[in-house]
Amino acid sequence: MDFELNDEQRMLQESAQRFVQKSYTFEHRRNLALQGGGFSRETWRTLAEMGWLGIAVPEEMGGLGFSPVESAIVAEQIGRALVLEPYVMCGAFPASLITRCGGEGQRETLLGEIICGDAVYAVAHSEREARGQVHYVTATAKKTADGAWRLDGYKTLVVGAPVADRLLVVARTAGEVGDKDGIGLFVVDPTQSGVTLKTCSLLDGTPSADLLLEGVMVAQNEVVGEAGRAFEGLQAAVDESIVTLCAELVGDIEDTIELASEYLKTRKQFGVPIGSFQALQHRMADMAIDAMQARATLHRALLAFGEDSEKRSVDISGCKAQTTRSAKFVTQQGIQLHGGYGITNEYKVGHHYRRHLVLDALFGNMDYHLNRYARQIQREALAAAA
Amino acid sequence: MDFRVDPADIAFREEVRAFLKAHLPADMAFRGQQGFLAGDDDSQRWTRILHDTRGWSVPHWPVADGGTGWTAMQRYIFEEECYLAGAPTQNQAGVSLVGPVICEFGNEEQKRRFLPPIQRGEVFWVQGFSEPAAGSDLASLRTTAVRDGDHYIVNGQKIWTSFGAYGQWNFVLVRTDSEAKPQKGISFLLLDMTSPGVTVRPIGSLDGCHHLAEVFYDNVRVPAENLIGEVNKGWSYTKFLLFNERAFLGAEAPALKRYLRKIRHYASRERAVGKPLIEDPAFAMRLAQHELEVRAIDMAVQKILHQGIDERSGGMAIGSMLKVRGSELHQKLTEMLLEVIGDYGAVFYPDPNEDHALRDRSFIGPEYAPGLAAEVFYRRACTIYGGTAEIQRNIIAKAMFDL
Repeated sequence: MDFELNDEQRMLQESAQRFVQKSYTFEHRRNLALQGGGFSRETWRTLAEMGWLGIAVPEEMGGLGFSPVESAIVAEQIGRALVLEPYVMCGAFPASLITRCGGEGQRETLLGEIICGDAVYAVAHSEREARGQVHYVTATAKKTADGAWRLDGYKTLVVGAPVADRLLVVARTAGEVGDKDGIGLFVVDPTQSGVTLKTCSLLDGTPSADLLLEGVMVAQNEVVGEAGRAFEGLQAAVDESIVTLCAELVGDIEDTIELASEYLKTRKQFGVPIGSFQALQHRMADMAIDAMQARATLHRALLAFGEDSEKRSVDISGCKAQTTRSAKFVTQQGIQLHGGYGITNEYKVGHHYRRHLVLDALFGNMDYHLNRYARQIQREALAAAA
Repeated sequence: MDFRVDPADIAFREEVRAFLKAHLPADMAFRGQQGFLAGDDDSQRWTRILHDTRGWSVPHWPVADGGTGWTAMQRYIFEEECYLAGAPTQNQAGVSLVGPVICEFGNEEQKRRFLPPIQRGEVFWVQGFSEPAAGSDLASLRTTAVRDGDHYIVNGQKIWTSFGAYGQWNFVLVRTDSEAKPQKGISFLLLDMTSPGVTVRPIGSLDGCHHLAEVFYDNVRVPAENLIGEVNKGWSYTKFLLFNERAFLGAEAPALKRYLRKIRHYASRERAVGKPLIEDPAFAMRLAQHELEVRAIDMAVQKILHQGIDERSGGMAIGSMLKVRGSELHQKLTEMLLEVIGDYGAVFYPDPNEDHALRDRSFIGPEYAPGLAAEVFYRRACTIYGGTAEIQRNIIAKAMFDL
């Protein structure tokens, strides 16, 4: 086990830090949220030019050939800077999906578009009643007489959809609602007939939408991989994306702590810096402990990638629950320590709390993942006792 | 010791419910239930209705000044039923803060001029206390008022003025003696916000709204007859007001009850993988824990309403204790409400009270989704406003244990 960043990883980290310090100041971000629709094509192209949209995609498929560790290194800086462009939901997630599910010739074409930033992909995987369960899919895909597919149904929280060139839709080709078999992945043109995007913004200004599919026709070559066999790749891509989001949360946590620590030293009341009050010193100490735990949990999640898929997925669930718990406490206290200023848009610290609420909702919330992890404990404990 | 509820109070609750059914407009009630802060239009319109129908717009004021003479219990029942029915909050700065100060410390002329418009919901008041450098340490405030003939000239800046953008009149704490100890050089002035030199700058907050503001005073001339009580005695009026603020804020139990009701209701309708969310044992257990804490708070509030607050020997700490625990529950329950709506908890719903054009728009997700996130962000402030949770703990330790 080696906890040190190697040279390549260090360079990656430094270049990510430089990028956000230079091109993603808080002012820039505020303006983008207020006037820019929460997304800049130029920034997306820059992320692409750095190779970051294909970090963990194998080299032979056009990516940088790195691992989730490198995705996490970039994602932490993304989190610190509160980058609005959906690096994970429109970059790492669809790239991972296509890498794992796509057919031979298909992968190069689709991945090529994502990695070079030419086409923004948004993934329609979630549904209102799924609440985190990846194989809870009610949207349907029915094969027609001429070999095409007809999609019907309703997907929620399609992050990036309003700015997307392509939608990756998860729909059921066969089986009952909760079955793992019979799940397919389809490429849909957002402008085609039968597609209705009900657009919205997320709490942090990210563009998103619900997706209504009414008789949307998809050609055979727009099916990603084998229709009905997408679950394993989908679950793995979700797991990988959750880990990357945990890295974002670590960035949110670290930046919050830095901002709060600075504020406590400069803000004076009753003639002294408020950082001289023991209660607040203890608060910072508690936040630091949570930050340590969150980073350790991220490492634990990265370790989980070496495990078999069933155990890996549940372990990563546990990591999301734990990281979110830490992020919740730290970002709440980040606001509290700033007093009135913590509630305002003008101060950065409150935005980390807001961002954690969004991340909690993505891929299932803290309770869902904790429940999932708890059920594994029950199975393992009973099996050991038997 | 007898815990049976007084039949007279039961009857009064029924009377209030009947009144609300008859007089609370349905559109207002709908908006009131959502969770967005009430717009000034709803606040003032409701105050007007209360005044015109029954003279119930300022129940807690002295009877001689227009109050109803209700017991503390009856006032609480009224507040709770209004809240649960979705009645908008009234202009608190006017009705609950400056109004009682004018009743207690104002002269006859001031009462005549200022009280009736508050009672009728005709004038919207805002509070001018905190400054950028004077938050927890309010007494260190630096906005000055210098006497010039029969006026005061006010210069300075206030911040965190709730609803500052709607403000028509402003009660301001000003420094009238810079030589004396801070608390002994503060005065309480009533200021017309249309006066030349007053600039309001709305402050955007995390909920996407602009309920807060900075107010700048640049040589604002305020008639000397707008001084409340005596010059340099403003801090004692402030303590009177802050005690009311703390007591009325501390007992935000009706809001807690409403969250619990909403969580039960929505979690029964929201489905997770085929089953109502409320059926999830882990979810139900968390809800049970919070509900039990709210019941304890409610009972503690009942005790105060029946017994009053014993100002000797640490009795003052109860307001602080209720605020500390109550605030934490506000935060936990509003976050829980957001969880209940799952994916839609990440969605931004704009405030229809800031932009009335939104009142007729429909949005994605369940009809009860708009307003839940706004309440989460608003409640982050409840451990900060009215004295931070840290200050409250200092008060408790000092009052109860002399620490």
